[in-house]
Amino acid sequence: MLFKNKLFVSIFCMLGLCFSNLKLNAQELYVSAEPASTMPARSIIIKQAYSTMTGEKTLHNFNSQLQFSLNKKWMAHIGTNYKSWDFYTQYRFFSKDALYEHLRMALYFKSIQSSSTAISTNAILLDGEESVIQGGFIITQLKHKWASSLSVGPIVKRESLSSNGAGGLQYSFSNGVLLYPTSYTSYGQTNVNLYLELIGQSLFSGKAHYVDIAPAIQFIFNSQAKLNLSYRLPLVNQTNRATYNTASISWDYLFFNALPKRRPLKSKEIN
Amino acid sequence: MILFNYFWIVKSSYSKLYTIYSKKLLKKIILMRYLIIGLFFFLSSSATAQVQSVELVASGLTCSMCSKAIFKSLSALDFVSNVKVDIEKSSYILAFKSPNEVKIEQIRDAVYDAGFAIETMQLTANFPSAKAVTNETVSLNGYQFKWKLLGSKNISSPQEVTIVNKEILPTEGVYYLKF
Repeated sequence: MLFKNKLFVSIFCMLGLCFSNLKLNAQELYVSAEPASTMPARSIIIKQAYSTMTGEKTLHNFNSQLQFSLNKKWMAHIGTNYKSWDFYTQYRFFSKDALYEHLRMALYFKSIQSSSTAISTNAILLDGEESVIQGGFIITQLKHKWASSLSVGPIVKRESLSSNGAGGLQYSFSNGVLLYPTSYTSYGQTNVNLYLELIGQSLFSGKAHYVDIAPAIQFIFNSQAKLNLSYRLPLVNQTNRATYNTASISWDYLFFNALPKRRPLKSKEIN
Repeated sequence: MILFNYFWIVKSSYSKLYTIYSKKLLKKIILMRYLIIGLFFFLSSSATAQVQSVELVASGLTCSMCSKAIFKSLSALDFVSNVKVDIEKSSYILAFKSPNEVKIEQIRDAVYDAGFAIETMQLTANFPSAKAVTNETVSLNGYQFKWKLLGSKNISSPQEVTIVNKEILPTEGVYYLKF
């Protein structure tokens, strides 16, 4: 009953976001997922995150990350939570832009290398507690005042690669709106964005399955620095995860044109 | 006195020699000089029209962080002196240090590098001819364009023109200008 209520509330919230978008600007600087759009070419982002995961036990997680893009289509993240390393790369292969709208598609690959010993849970954990390989496809559409992003791809524990063990499917669905300002006048205005994201995992064996909902609020300062606050909780949880509620705070700072410029693009390389 | 009326003693600017010129000859020399200087300016300005300013509208964005990425990318171009932005309209007005150094291709690439595309690119330029005839070639900052007009139109000075090609200087095909 509780689950049905949560599902109903979340669907209602999503619809609310979609309709409220009619009057607001859409935002796709998601907190929990990555959109298919890439960072500006030759820019660097420094990100620091802290999260508290609760459930059967409590875990604290500090994650430091360096994100960069050498060109407009390709970007990479390198991060650590001081127990594990994570590497993420994304390539945007399709882009169709029009005034106040775009459709973008990208491929991504993620690898987490953990020093922790294997823990007994049927779900595949992505918080650095185990070594994981993940890849997939992202599609993001921004249309006038409405934006959403879908990502889907296989995920596998590194240890089970050799033993032909359980793999699964990881997916996310994200929506976001700009709450403030109602109209842009300068880059100095603080922006307030609201997000509602769904993060799910289904193992191919059918033994574990979860869908988490992660609402988030984001403050953007000087069009360059972000402060994100989010809370992730399960909507559907058919796993024996030891932690399933996650409160996170993170900030990041974007350095434009931080990397040196290469030769000018040739016309045929455009899009 | 006659000597001073009809002959002038002129000191050369590049040697210390004094030359006696007749008044008529001196007039001719001065006239020739002005003609040569005039011809030089005429040729240098008529070879190619020069872009004075550019106004572009970027597409594919609604966020101010995205707009700032384009602003920073355009501001980093070495021939750009100033960028005026209307975030709400996604429009950018570019002023240049020197009109003859403007590279349209680099302006386009700066927007693409930030992760977005160009909806329209409008250029303000001084054209050497007073009339634009459709399908006639016109040179603009070294790029060869063709006019895409209904017949012919009088060009004002300066004249605002728009690049017709959606891709802005594509690798293949003809580049068209309209106004």
